[in-house]
Amino acid sequence: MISIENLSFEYGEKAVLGNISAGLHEGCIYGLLGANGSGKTTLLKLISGMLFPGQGRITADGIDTSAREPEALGKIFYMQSEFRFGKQSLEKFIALHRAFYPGFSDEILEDCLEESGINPKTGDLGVLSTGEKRKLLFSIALASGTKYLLMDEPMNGMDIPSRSLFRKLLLKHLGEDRTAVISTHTPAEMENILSDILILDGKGGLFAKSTEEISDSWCFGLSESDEGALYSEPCAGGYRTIKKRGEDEATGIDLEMLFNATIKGKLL
Amino acid sequence: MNNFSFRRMAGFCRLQLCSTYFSSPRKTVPALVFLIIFIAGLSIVADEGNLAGMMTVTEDLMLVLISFVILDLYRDLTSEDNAINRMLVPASLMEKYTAMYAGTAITSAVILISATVLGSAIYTAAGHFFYPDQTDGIQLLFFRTGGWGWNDVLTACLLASGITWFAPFFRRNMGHKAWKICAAAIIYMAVLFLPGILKATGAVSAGTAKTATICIMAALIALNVRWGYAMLKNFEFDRKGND
Repeated sequence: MISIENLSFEYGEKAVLGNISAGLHEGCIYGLLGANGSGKTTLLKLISGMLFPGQGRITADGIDTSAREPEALGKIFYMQSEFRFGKQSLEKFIALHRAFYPGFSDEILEDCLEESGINPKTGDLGVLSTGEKRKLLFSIALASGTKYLLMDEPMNGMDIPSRSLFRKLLLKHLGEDRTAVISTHTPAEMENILSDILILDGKGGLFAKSTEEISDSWCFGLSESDEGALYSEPCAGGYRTIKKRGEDEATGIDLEMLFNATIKGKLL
Repeated sequence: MNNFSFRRMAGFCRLQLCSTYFSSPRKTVPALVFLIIFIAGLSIVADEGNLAGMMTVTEDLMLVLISFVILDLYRDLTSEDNAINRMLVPASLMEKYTAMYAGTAITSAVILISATVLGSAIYTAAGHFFYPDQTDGIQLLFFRTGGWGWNDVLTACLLASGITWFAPFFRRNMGHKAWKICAAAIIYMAVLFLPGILKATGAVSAGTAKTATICIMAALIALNVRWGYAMLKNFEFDRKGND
């Protein structure tokens, strides 16, 4: 489990994260949402050990990630939003990195590459398109065997079929003992695969609940009036609303509404 | 898990070198040949008419080239752009730091061996055709009277190790804390050249100054290595404006 304890972080005088705590459990897929500049990338960097907390600490299975010890690094794969592959072949790239990941699976990599239509004999990774590079790094992340996958806007630059493939491969190869944290600006594309939602409210706070807890607590729907709604937005024919669930039947989760309500402080 | 594994260190060194200098021998070899010829040509321009002087300039420029190697490997180690960030590759910081020095040593050896062979050939030919009065046969770069000695090896180590702390120190303090960079550079140079200054004022003899300089250089190398490691340990990927 990744444990975030009383974490605070600031860039100069700008506070980004203020005393947040959360636990990221095995077998879960977390959707990390937040407005621009709310600290999504910062949080992922802090978890991976690229940045150091101002206060508090983050541990992966009890090991402080900011110490960058091989044991902790071997548990985490961080897929950045911007990256480059050098001018080298895929085979060479894998050969150079795989020694550091004892759980690396050739089967998973082969499957992902085949599904993604990426030639395993690619001679120069530098010439791949943005979408192909993302699919490739995602395949490597899944094949790495690391317990925690941190992905910063992994679907940026992917075409529609690739986005669907992303979800399929993630569900197929993640397994119950692994955890994924996916930062995204398009939650609607992810809502069917997420088990937990993390929302950075832009004021330093973190909303962290499982989809089950959210469904138990609130219902999302359309209504002619916004009476009794915790949060509402006008739409054609009435209002999109979030209400306390009470005895009502569970509804699907409208992540966009949930996000808007959270950053406006309506669900606290 | 051990904090230092030679195997992991070697693997990381291989990863860095094969992703940088040795990624494409077809391009690296011509580039190296061109660089050596360029440096030799530059030396001829810099010290025209004196073959030994030209060779000294070439040897000195090789020192600078080696400094760039470690600077480049440091940049690679701390770059935020690599698909799999080097600092997040599962190896300890000590292994990565050692691998960077090992990579520099290997690359420097390749550069120096190539420079010795090619540079010696160039200067032997130059001596034979243009300066017959200054040569009596083969001109060996580095391995000659007045070529590289222990002091040059120490200087190379001092420069290379100094870069491992100066590069992040400069990055951290450039801009509004530029005075820190100047202060550090002045203090560093003052310590390094203190024996020379004392010798110039007649306070110490030439022999004492030389011994003191060697001792100071050795101490500074040890300090550089230690300080460079501490700077790397505290290195953060702080690209601002991230989402």
